[in-house]
Amino acid sequence: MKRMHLMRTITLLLCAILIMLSFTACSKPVESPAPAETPQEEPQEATEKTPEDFTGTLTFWHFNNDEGPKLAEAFMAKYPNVVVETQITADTDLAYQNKITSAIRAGSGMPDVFAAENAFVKRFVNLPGGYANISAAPYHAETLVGRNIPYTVDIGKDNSGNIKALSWQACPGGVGYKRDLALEYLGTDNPDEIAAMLSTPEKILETARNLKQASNGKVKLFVGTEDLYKIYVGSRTQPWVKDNKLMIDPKMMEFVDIAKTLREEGLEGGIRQWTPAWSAAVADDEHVAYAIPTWAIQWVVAVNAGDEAEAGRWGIATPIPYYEGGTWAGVSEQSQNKELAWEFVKFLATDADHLRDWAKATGDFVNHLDIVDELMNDSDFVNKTVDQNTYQVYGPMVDKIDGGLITQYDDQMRVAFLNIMQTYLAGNINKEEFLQEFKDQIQADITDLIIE
Amino acid sequence: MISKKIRKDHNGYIFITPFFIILSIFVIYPILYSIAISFTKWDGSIIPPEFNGINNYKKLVNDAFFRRSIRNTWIMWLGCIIPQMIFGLGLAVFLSERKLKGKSFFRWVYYLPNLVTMASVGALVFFLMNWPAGSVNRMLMTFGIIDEPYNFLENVFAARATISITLWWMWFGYSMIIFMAGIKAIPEEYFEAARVDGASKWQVFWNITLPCLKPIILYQVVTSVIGGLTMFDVPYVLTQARGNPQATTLTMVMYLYNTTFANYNFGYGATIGVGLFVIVMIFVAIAFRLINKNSAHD
Repeated sequence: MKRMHLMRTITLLLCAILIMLSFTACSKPVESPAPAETPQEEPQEATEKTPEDFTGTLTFWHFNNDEGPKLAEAFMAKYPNVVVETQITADTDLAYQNKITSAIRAGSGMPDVFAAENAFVKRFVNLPGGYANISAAPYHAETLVGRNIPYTVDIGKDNSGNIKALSWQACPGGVGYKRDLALEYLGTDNPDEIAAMLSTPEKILETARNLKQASNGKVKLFVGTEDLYKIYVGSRTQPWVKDNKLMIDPKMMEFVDIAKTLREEGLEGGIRQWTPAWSAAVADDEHVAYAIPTWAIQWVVAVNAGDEAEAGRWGIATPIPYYEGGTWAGVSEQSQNKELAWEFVKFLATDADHLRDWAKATGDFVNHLDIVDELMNDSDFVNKTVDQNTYQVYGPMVDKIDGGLITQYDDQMRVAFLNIMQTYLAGNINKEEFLQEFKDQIQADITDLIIE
Repeated sequence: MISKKIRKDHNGYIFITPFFIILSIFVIYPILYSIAISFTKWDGSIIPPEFNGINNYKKLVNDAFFRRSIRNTWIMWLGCIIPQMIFGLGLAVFLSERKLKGKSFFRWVYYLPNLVTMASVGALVFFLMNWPAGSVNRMLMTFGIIDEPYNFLENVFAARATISITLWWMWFGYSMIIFMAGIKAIPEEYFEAARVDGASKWQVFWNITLPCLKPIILYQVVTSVIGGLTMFDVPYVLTQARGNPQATTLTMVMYLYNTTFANYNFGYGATIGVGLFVIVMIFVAIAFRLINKNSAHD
């Protein structure tokens, strides 16, 4: 009897402790420091310091193994007494985003600086405890970004208008095409003439049909409809979400219609983006065009085209202004070394010498207006992959990009829209069902959104 | 004579303490924590969960996607378990034939798919069934069976069937091994007596093998129910996380995962988890009842 009593007491005690622990864990975030407007350790004004004066080690998280280490190397080359430890986590199945979210929630383990790409940067600039507010003292980011392309600065701001992250790139987009196929089947490889052939949905369809006829059905205009999605989504006039309401821009329905026609008439390759088949098709003789924003010349064309990339097989036309992609970086709220972290972010986004070197070394389209002007007028600055001065090609589109189009929901919208559209394109649902299914999915994904 | 007195010192508690500590940290605490946050609205950030009453549960009851995910999971599980049992049992009986040569080789070959990780199998099947350039489409076109590539993974029946067949392919070898062990445990005298009485192979199977294997069949179904209700890897990889077409291959765990980790709705994700827990518990209870009834009957 006594033993039973003891056992019961122990069991009750254990349960009570566990329940208390669970509620403690629930309320743990309350105890976490609120996202401070001013950092815990205020960095010193660094204007008088030379790069050699900075010492220490920074941790830097990035999602791309091609870019992250190079950014760190560039910083270490100029700041010889600083070590940047880069950790790359690919965002496959949202691994990178979940890693950051978990570390923020845990209140420890965050790096000093972390990068975010266009698809999810808006979530992190608005996530409490993520990026430090670099509009505030002692950073005063606004005073340094006067020569950065404005839309790139806007995207790095949170919903209150504070700058949280900065970018070094602008990503206007064009249509990349294989010159040899274009010349053979469309009669020209001139970028302006190709742009004219693709400037409206009607002209895209006409060009795709001409191409099919000229090649006896062997060659298709676009590798897949998802490449067209990039163009259309980047050329909308309203964001996916406005005043907490789902907005389906007319451009998106225009895209659905043209994608359906292209699919039904066999005018596109049907290959989904980022699949091995999509990468392999860069080097084939069956697909002419891809959506190629600035960064994709290097990371889609050059890396997949093999030796032909050097031969200038590809050209870039700019029929419809749009943009896609870009990477931002900011100082982590949890960083214990904010002065150095800020120096790194500042270097990446505003150091004109570095940005010039970076553009020349990687072919990237940097977002510093002075460098853009300089390289647009540099006759020697020719990208070997496309045999064009990419700053002359993309530069005129920079003013047309609206940073306000980006919302924190864009990635969820993209995934839902493109997945459900596959069922529509396969002919298993009609357009109304597609739209309803998309709205239902978004309502399930983003429960607070108002959907009409 | 056995002493009726039981030793009452408490040293035993020390020995069982590590087990209870581990159990508390890794099982009981997460369960209680999940239940606690299932009553909240929380995006997983440092902003504290906001108490939401039973709203999440009200939503769960009326959630069309959750209902769809339950239905999908059952359909795909049934599409897998029925052929899995038939093939597993049939092959086990066949490979238990004493005179058959090369039994070990076939046992090994049939079991092999079970050794490959589910995610790898999902990726492999994705490439096989892919549209328009997947191997299955190319093969069917080469043989002139179809003129145009068919988008299998966008057809409701074909997509579900692909998942069921993939899971069946992975698991029938495992079932076969378990059934073979069960057949080995049947006393040889039963078969000898049947042979002496002139019973046919079918009669032996129907009147001896099958009744003796009943507990094993039940065990397989029970373990498969638990595994089936938590189906995730293959449909996740095969449909690239979305359960296409039209969420007809979306399973309960996929819905939980997407809600929590793709849409950052931790509170409602926990509610789905609790819903899943209740469903699994109900079916496990039914299954155990059946097993106990069966044992009592024996």
